[in-house]
Amino acid sequence: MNTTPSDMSRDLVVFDIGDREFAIDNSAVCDIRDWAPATTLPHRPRHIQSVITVDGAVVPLVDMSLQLGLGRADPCQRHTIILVRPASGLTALLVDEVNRPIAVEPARIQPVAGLAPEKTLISSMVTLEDRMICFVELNALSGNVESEAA
Amino acid sequence: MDMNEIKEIFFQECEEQLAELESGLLALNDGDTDPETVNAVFRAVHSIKGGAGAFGLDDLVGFAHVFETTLDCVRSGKIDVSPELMKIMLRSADVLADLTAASRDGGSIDPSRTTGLVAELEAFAKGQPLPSGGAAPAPAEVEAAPPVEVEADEPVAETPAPTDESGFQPVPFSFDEFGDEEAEAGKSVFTVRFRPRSDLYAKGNEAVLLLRELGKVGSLHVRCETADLPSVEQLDPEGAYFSWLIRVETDKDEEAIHQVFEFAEWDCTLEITPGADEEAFAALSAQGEDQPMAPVPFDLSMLDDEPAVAPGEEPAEVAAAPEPAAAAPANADEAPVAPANLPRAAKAIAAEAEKKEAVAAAVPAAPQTIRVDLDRVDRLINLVGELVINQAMLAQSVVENETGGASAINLGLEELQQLTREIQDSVMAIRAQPVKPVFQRMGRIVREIADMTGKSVRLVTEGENTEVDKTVIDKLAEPLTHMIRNAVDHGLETPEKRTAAGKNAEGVLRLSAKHRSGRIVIEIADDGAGINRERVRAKAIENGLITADTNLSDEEIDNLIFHPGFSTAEKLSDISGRGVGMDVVKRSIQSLGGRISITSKPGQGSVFTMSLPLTLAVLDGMVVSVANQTLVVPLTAIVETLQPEKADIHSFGSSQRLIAIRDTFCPLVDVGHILEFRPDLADPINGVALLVESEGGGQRALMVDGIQGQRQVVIKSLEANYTNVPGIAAATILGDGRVALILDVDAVVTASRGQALRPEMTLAATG
Repeated sequence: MNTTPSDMSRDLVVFDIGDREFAIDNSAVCDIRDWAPATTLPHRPRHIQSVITVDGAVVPLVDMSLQLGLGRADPCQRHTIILVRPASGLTALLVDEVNRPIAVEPARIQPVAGLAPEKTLISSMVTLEDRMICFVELNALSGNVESEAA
Repeated sequence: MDMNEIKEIFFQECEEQLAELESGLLALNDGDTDPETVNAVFRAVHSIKGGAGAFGLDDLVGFAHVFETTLDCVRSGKIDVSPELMKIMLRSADVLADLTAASRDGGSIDPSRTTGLVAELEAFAKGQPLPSGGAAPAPAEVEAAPPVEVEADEPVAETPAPTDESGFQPVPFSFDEFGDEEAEAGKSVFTVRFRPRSDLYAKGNEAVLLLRELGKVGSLHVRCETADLPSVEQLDPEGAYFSWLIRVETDKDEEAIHQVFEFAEWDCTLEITPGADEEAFAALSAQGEDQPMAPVPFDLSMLDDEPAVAPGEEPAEVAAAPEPAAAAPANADEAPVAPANLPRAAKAIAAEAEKKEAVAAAVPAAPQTIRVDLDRVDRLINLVGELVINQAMLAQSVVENETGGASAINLGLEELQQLTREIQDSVMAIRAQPVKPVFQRMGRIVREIADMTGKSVRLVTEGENTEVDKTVIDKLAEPLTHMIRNAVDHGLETPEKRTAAGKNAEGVLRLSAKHRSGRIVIEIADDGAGINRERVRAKAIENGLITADTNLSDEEIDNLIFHPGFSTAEKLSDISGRGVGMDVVKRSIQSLGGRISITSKPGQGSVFTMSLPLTLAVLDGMVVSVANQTLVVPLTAIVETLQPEKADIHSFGSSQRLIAIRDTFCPLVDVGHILEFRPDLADPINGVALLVESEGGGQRALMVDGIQGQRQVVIKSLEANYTNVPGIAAATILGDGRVALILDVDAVVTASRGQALRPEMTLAATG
């Protein structure tokens, strides 16, 4: 997917899951926090399995590893939580580690096609020197969450 | 602020005025004779009329005006408060409320409702003889316009009416032949006592202008009363100390005088009495003569140096000051400044005096209120909830870190806890509202139903100042309405039956509220026939709720009326028929975390008792563990907890189990399994069963692994950021900072019903 035609570079927050790198738009990120124990939801919904508390609100926690088709994460102290606010409301993303943010020209975010259905979250890739970073579309994430809820 | 916003405020105020109106009328109905009550009622209608006029709501204005006129007659004592009048007025209040609602929502109400009442109100206003023979409100023969004559100082009795510029000769009179002559001349004499409060001046009104305006109504004799003027030291520069005694001689009626004061009436004390109050004038004149009329010069420095001596002399000095004010009405040019100027002139003196003595307030201040957006209060409540959780977390981590001898930390924590609790209580108190408005609405419902059913009912309310959270109040009206309707329709007998049973033909419905152990208990008691258990039983058998040989206790029969679809009314009436029965009431009360029960005595009546939480922001819950998860079960749902014995458990099919509780078999629901926390059914022997009651009256034993304790928890919405989760009502945050889910007992029971026994089985199995 092509992003806004702008000469301005985009700030991305980069995180690791396993040995792979992913990025989300920095503007959607509210906060980055240490991992905290989550509460499992009944019926084990596929995408949102648990909820955590953020400043007194109850926020769904998304296992990004599972979402991105990399298998269920085993949450522990090593993990980090990224708080994002897509259309569906405040959401917490469980990731392995958050790297330094990067700024890239929009041209470097290139659409990709033909990915497996569970990977529809990834619509484009960022190439940066020797790094291959998958760009995660957060609104697709909320779409998943909603269809899960329905 | 655009017009719509202003209109919105107007309607909000209307609500308040209507409530005021209703409570005033009810007080009058109960024999309250305090003139202030009548005034309050009048004010309420008048304010609505005024506001409605500003928005061009003609229907509302028209009706309010008629209502107001009648009330005015009551206020001035022209007509007595009779039960018939009260009935009309209460109905008028209802219509006024409907008209207001119709104006707000753009609907309309049946015009026949208003026209009938208007006619009745007018009949009351006109049909009664007026107390003072001479004071006819609308004289048939109107004389030439009376001269505008304003006098201040001359004693009234001696006043010969002078000729004014236009050459009109006013009718001479003497007090001795007052009444008769006035009647002949078609003129009325009123004595007006006008005592402005400081607000009147603060709002830019001016006594002199009002007096001048009054002068247009008829000829005046004005005396200024200055006796209330305090010593300079005690003088509030912004205060109002003068009052006026005015004799108005007019060919118009009292209403005309009221109109003059229309916009100032709330900021002054206004007494209009027909006839002339000779004595008052005489007393004032005498007083006036005693007072030194010439200003006595005095030295400001004297005040500073000898404050202790000054007060004794000051009254005389200050008493001189009103003179210009009293004389003012005679001179239109000078007049407006006089009363306002005086306080200003005195300001400097008072400012000095203030240092030594607090300025005495002229009128004791009423408790002040502000309008606050509910969202802001909710936000505050949320934040306090945070604080409570945070404090609990802090306390827990201190305990975990074993500070040992650091008693200062522990002490500080304790204080913090104390403060937090106080803050929480105070914040909750902001949203706490008396149940009065809801109770008042019930008065109307009782009247309506009583009319429809031809029954005579008196509603007695108690404890209407009992406070409860606003969220609860908002949701209280509906179940309460149903219950009241039910009580009048089914509970109370017709007057004939009552008389035959040796009771007073008028049924009494008692609505009471009180606080009891952290909950609000609302009782609706009628003195009717009580529940006809035979009929209830027959009906239940007919509907297949119970079998013919089922043995039920009286209490169990009474509680059958809460069963879905149960209605004992022989014919479905408009009022409580249509399948909306007590089961709906019960469900809506349960959804508020409340309980309802009934006790009934044949021939003596029934009492419905509901108990509700004081707030929906916190909940008393039992913290339980299920498959390594912590859940909270609302305490209100739990009937009892028990430790299952192996012998009590009976398997039923592949996955269904029953537990024997005393003589009853109750389906056992494994919470961990039904919420899919674990794939297999747990062994009940290792767990604890919570006997819960769900909607429809069926009981279930919910099996959990263990009970951690009982706690008050702050309710957090799951929907805010996610969506609702089946089986889960909401969430909360525990002291360790983790989210605990609050179980939706009804949903869990419903989910279990798929394969489970029908709820009726539980009942049928009884006995």
